[in-house]
Amino acid sequence: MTYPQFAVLFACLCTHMAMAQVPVGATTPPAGRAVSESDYLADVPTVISVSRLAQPLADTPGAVTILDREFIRMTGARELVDVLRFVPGFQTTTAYEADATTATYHGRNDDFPNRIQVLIDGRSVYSSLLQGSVGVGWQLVALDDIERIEILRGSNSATYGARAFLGVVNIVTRDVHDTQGAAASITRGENGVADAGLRLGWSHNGGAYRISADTARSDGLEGANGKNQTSRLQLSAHLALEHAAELELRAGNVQVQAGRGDPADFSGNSARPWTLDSHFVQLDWRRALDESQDLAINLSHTENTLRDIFQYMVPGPYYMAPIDAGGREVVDSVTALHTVRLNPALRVAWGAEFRQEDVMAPRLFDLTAHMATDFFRVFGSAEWRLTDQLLLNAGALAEQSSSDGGTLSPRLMLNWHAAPGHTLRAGASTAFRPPSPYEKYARVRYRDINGQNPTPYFVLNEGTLQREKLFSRELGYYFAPENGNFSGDIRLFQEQITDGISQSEGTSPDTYWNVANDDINGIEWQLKWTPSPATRVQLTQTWTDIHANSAAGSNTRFRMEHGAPRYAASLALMHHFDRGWNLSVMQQVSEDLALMSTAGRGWLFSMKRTDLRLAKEFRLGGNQAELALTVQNMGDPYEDGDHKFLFNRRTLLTLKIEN
Amino acid sequence: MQAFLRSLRWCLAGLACVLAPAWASTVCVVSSSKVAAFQEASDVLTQELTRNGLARQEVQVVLGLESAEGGACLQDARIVVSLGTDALRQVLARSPHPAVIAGLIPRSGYDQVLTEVGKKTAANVTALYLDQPLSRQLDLLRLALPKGRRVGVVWGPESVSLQGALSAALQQRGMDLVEGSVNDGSPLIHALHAALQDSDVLLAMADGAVYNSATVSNILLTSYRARTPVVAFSPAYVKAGALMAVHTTPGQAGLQLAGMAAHFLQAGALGASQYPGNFTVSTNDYVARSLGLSLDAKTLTERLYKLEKRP
Repeated sequence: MTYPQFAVLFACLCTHMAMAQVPVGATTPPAGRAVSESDYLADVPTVISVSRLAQPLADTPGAVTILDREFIRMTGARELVDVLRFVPGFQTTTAYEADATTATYHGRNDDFPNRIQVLIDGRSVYSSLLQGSVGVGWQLVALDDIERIEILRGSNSATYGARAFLGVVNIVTRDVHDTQGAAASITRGENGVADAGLRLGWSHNGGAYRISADTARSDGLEGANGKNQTSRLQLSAHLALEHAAELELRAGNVQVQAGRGDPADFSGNSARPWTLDSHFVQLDWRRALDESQDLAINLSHTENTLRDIFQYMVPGPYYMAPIDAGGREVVDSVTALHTVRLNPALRVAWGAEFRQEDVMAPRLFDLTAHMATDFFRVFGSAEWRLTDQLLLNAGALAEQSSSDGGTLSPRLMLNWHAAPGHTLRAGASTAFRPPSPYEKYARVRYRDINGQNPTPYFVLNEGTLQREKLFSRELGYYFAPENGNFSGDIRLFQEQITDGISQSEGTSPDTYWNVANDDINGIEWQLKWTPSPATRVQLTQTWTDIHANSAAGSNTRFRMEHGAPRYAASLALMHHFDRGWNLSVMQQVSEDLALMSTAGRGWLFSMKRTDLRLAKEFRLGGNQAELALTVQNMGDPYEDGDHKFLFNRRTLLTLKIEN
Repeated sequence: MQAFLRSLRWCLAGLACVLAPAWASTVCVVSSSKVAAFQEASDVLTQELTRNGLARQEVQVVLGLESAEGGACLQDARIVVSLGTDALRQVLARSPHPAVIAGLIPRSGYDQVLTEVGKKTAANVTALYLDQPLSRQLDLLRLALPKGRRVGVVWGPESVSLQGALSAALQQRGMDLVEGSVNDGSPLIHALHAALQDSDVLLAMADGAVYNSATVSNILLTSYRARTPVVAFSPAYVKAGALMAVHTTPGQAGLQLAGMAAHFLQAGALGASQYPGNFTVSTNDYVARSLGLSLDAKTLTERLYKLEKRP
């Protein structure tokens, strides 16, 4: 029997969920004595407190896709973005050219996906470097450390802030109590794939801990410059405190080394290596105040340093001049969240966040020391069960930015449980994405090798750029018949972007304008079918129509209109055979998508990719082990991210051991 | 039932007039604790006995037997009702002692006390267990989770004695047992993961080595993360985050203990030890909804009674 999958926790709260205990009277019996009446009569602290209670998918204010650990493992994916290919409406690339491997929802306005939010255990990994991007975020967690990924398809600024413009990807890592013991994995394969991971979990004095380290290396895409390597070290701890409060500590260090650029280009885009170092520390304190309310406080500090520098090699006065797109950002955030059940029909979560983002990129801001932006957000969400059949999710987030002023992003969603297992929903929301510091303030010019003789500006922004706006409407249908072995949803969406931020086209210097008005319309659906406990089928299809009305120029308009494929689909078939054999077959198709560096050519690309994974579970020296053979892209190479980059067939062998 | 109670009332009234000296306690209730559960049980027990004919003075409630009042209570009583393990131990430590009905005590705790005191002392003692028969728990499980076939259990040193009985009961119902155990020295989390492996429900069996104040959080959270509902053994666990439990409230126990005492006063003999006939199903509606389940505690209680052919 399977129960409906978890959705996002109520409001913004998956990752702020309180894990609290409250002493409520008589003490509970201690360990290590005979069963007595106190086992049956004593009070027990509240554990599954109000904010821990996940909303069933039938109650969520929008469509949600859940990718669980089992599914992720069975795909044989090495990159996080690779599993997002199985989410309706998502586009992904494994190219490290504009960014690290990346994914976005319903297209993008340029090479940097900056219209969705990505959270890892509640911490935003959106980077404000360059145009703003979640690309780096995908590198910050190892797939083996992930418990599940919750993808909220549709705008969610009312809960998650401005960056949740078109959607949210919420990554929940494995609980430290579930990863006690040791685990190791190693992957070798074609295309220079060499991955290795090690994890150790232990308990001490009531605390539970995990340390995990891994490295993932490959030769990248054919035609792309450079090999890619990501190295991660992560520490997680869970401590039980007095008064039944709990504290979680997470810290990590991630380094990405990759290549970008064109070996034939010696001027603006030379082939060169680039690196990104990311460090973070995060503290989550939680306590249930009583049975119906709890409080969570989250603190995080993140530092990202991008090194991307090369020399201008065209003979002349600027020969060997440094061209530096690097930068450093420091992000500090503190969030307080109070969740309360006012009565059986009404649950409310409200809170506030203060966030400071400090970006230092002297070469991009023309020697300005740094661009600091303070955000103050107050948010609230209510889940109001009007009747047994009607559920209203209402929320709003007010955001005050030191750079862009204030906005209010409301959302309303009405869920009608028309029949058991069948829910219709309709709703609307608004959102505002503030420009990144680069989009608003970038002033790029170069100096000669002696730091003298500045060129004219190549990019010039005067700080007048405004937020882009979104009005989103959707109709949805969620189905999970009580006695059926399938579930899924259909989402009909209309997303209208006005004052969209777009780079100028054919101007000198380049600048960012609020000139794009885009209508994104379409329908997407997903189905999960488990014809037997050993078999799982997941199917998705998406039809997207984007109408762009951009004054920036025809090329920009073309990229936007085809930023999402006209049609995309994915199919995953997974089966557990007897004696520990597992087989997965996955296929993805995508039709009519614009890629990078095809400006003015009007080229659209289609792709089809089929993956196969065959694995055998067995015991090895008393440990659980699995040997897996994965073939990625069994068919012809396809263009990935750029028309010059090809994803070739790769055969990988992975051994995992866990005690 | 009503007719029985009426005749019982008259019998008790008659007995009270004929047999009871002016200030002697016919029924001595020895309680282990003053906490609310014990108070509720003794209150209901007293009210029910007096409602059915005993004079209020004939029912004496004492906290343990340490005081002179306790000793006098025991000495004068025809029947002793002990509430809790400590009270039973204290009563059985007195020799001789009147007939004893042990209440608010789980079966394993009762058996252990009887083993401690030996056969001779254990004679003339019976019990109303606090815990529920396995059959009732499994019936509830089937009523509430009809699709649940695989039942996870974590065994500890106390509960493992039920392993054979549970396994047989599950087999009889076409259900499977998924087991984990801490008895081989395994950490609880490993035993829990073993019990949750592909199981549809985790059936909690009281055992201090498994379920205690230090472990409850991890057990409930781990099960919740695994989307496996927990069927617990007490309403406190339901409040904490288990899906449901069938249990006997202290008031229900007090009521049944009164009936057993009255039966003794009338018949002069103790019946066999028994599981509670009265029970209640508690559900955590929020957890149920979150797991996509729809449960109604009242309906489940009624259906469970109906299944046992009780009103």
